[in-house]
Amino acid sequence: MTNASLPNEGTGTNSPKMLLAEYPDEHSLVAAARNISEQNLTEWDTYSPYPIHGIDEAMRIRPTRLPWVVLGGALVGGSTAMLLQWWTNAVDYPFLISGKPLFSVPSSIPVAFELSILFAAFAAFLGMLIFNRLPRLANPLLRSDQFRKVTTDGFFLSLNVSGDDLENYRKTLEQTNPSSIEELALVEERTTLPRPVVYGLWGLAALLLIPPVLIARARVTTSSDPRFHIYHGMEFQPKRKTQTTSELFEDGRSMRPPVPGTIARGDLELDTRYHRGLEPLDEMPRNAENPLNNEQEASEPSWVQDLPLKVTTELMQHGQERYNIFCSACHGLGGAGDGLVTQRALELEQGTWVKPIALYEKSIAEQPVGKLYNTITNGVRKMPGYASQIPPRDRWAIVLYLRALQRGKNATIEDVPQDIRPSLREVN
Amino acid sequence: MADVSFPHDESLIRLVPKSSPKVLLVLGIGVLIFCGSLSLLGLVASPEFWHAWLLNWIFLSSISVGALFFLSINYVVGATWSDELRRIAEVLASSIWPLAVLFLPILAVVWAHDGLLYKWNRAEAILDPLVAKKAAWLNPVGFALRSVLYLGIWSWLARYYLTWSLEHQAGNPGAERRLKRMGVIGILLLAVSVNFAAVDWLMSLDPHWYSTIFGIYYFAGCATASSAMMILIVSCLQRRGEFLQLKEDQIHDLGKWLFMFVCFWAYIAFSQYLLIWYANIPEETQWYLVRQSEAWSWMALLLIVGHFALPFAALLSRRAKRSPSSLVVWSVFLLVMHWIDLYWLIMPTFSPKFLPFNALIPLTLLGFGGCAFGSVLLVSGKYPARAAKLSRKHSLLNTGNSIGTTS
Repeated sequence: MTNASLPNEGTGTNSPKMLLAEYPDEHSLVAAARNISEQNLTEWDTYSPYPIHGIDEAMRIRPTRLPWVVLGGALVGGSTAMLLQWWTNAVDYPFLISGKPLFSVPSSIPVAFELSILFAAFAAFLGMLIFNRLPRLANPLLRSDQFRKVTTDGFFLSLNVSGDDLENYRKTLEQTNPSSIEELALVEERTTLPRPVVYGLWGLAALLLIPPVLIARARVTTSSDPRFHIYHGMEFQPKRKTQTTSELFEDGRSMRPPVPGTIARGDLELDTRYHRGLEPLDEMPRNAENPLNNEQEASEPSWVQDLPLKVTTELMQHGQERYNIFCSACHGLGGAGDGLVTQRALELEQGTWVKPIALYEKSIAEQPVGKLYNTITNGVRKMPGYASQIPPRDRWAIVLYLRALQRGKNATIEDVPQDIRPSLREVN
Repeated sequence: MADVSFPHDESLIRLVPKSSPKVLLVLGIGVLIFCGSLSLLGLVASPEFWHAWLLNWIFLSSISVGALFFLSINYVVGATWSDELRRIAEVLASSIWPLAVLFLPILAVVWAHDGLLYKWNRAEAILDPLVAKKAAWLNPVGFALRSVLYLGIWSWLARYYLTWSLEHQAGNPGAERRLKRMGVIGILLLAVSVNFAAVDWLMSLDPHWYSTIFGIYYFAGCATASSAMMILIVSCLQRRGEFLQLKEDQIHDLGKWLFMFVCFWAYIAFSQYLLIWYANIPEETQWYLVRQSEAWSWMALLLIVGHFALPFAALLSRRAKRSPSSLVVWSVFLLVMHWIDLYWLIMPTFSPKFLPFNALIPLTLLGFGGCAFGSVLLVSGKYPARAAKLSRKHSLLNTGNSIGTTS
């Protein structure tokens, strides 16, 4: 319904009006619409709370072009999506995802589907607004109280007439049997925006073009200016990282060695018996049987002979647990040197692996506990030292368990407590 | 059901002319006898025979399952545009009765443990650890019991709908409420039974593979096929003088229904494909790999173009959905495409390299079609083709009766 061409021939003293006819139900509305459309009048329309089947034909409305607009929107959406995914993932920043091709049709379908729907919806919405010439600044229908029924159960037909033909058209309308006819004044409505607003909008559009232009320019040029850091304090911290140089110190290192003559808290290991398995030198008894023999001392340190910890069942069990965790992989659960690592290494036959000697062998069984402790700490032959993995108390626990393993291999039935003997089976 | 009497209104046209059901039935039985004699020549112990049997059986039963869905969903939502079309859907749904009988040979071949149809059926299947794990579900007893259950549910539902719809047409006041209630129950029963039937009958053809959306994929195909078949039947009836007053809007609704299921099928089919393609796990991709390699590759492309792209583009416009002739063309096309879809689902399990074709495939199709439709129409052909309108007390639509008030 346009107001651009009002039939206002005549003197103009009679201002254009809108005749609003109300009908009791949709059938009379459809009949009235058919009647009016046969008279080839322009500038009329019908209103109802819900779409009425058959009203399009009655009003002889030509099919709308909106579906084509929606289709166009959908096609634009689909191709935009495909182009976006192809450009961003295959051209501008080639990005391998899950080993799929850089651009693959199946993976790009979800986005293309969604964007088609989205653009189609936008096209439908904007198309409806544009085709209905909305938003409008005013509508004379809204000035009618009667017209409020149109959202619930009112059916209306409106006809725009100039003042001269008012009576004729009123009679025409009355022939369609409306329940009432109302007259509404038509105020001539601006259909264009005021000049200053238009100029302002153009100016705004021009301004909004500036950021994309700047971005495009920045993409294709190089710059000698340093980068702009938003979080300067985070990106340039005064702390020193490991293995970097420093101008503060003479040796140029950021990492500082411990100050000579100092020990970190907890690192003072006064008890050599406990920490190193060695008798302290100044407490060593000097007597005839054990004179200070340089050779002997050089070849064989004075190992601790007794466990520096109290021997308890708990310590023994702890030792068993620690042994199973750290030692059994190579030495086997029984100390026979048949651990899984050894088995595998011997399978490989590389010639680099030495099978560990059985821990219950005489040569090991004869070693004092301090020497065993030292072996665990510092390693021997191919075995590495476990000082960094096993704290001292656990090492002594393992040593205690080793003694149990050694004794077990050479035990007799007399060593087994009475109450346990029945549960042992004879293994031949 | 036979003693329901409704007013002998001359304006109510019979569903079919008197003679044709007998012809169809005779034709169907004859074809099946011919198939049987062919099989006695040594083909019955062949996978070709059983896969052809399964394919055409599934094709025809999918139409009746889709018709059951059509009825249930329209009762659930209180639709009135379709109420006069219900009889057609009820008759299509009733074809599950003869089809249930024709399913028994499949149960027989499953009991025979030969693995001619289902790989989990073979004696050596127990050696396959994956299949052995699924043996609690995939075994002949369970398969038979469940198949009987599904077919029982569908047959019972179809009979219920047809009976009470005839009652409704004869004027029974309580019939409509019963039908609407059964719509709710029917939807729930269908949801479960169709899903599990698809798993049992179709997905277990390859017992290593699984897809949780498979039941819905099968359902989408059922709904498409039944919509297409309904459009064809409406068009046939129009030529005989019934449904001439079908408003263009109702034709449009049928067209929209068909179009909707074309889109839905494509959506589900692609969802199934995309997830498996993206994860690229060999356990899942091997099913698709067979179906897009060698000879099957062009059939997969044919499905994409023919089952989705072409009908989508063709039925997109309003004009196409409102024109009976265009709808008939695309309904026939989509029925063929649905058959090809099932062919592509079923056949690669026994013929991975080339497209199998033997005389049994079209023969069993004709045989089943003749038997099923012939027997159904023989029984129900005397009923009026147009069902009665449902009451519109609570509808706001302008159908020419009372004007709805907001309630």
